Amino acid sequence: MSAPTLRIARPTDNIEVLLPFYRDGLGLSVLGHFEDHAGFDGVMLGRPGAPYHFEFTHQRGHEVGRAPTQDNLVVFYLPEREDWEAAVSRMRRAGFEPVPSYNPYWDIMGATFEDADGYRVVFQRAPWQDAA
Amino acid sequence: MNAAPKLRIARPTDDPQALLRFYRDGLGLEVIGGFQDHAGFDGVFLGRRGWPYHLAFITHRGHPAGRAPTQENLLVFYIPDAAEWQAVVDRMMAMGFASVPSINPYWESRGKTFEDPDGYRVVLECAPCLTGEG
Repeated sequence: MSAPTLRIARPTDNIEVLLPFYRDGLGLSVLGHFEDHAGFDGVMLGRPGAPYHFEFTHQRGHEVGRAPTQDNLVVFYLPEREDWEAAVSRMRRAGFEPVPSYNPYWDIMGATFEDADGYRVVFQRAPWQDAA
Repeated sequence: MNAAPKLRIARPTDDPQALLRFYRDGLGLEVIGGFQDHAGFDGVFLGRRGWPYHLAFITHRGHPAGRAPTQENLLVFYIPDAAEWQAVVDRMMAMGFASVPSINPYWESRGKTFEDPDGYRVVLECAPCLTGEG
């Protein structure tokens, strides 16, 4: 079967604080949002037509805290140098500087950024090759 | 950059073998790569060849990963075909993974939620079931 569209979803204590990172830094579009659906607020971010998108939710009155580890990652494979440099530059313009990766592998070809909740995004300057 | 970049969703685990039963034998993803003892890290990649995203489960020797921080750390698969959706749900059940109530009732009407051995959750949404019977 072809790849189903994928949503990567998690709760946060502050949706607004995540927006500068994912919208301005990663350059994702706000695809939708909702308020107080049975006590849940949420925002979906991605690129229109892309096979995956992100969702951040907040359940009113519930605290969820931060990322459980420094190795909860989303990795974007950007093999073209100009794409990778543009992605890193946009993060920096949005006020986010790279952090050392938990696994040193990602420091060789990548740049790692940490969002306000401690979840991390890596821009990897390499192609993703499926195993043969 | 035209096409969406290839994406990896990665996280650490303490028991990759238990996750293989869930993601490979239950969900039907394939092991498409992995590595052993790169500076103390081991990893396995699951997905399908040609898909624009894949999962990576990593162990770091001597460093416990612990469980999911919430019951709302989700991967939602929007399965475009009702028969495919039913086949995946049936395979999950056959592997002994019972669906669980979702925290957000939104997902209850749209599919089935399953919890992996680490507490992270997968929602199988039956996309055609919504429009066809709505």
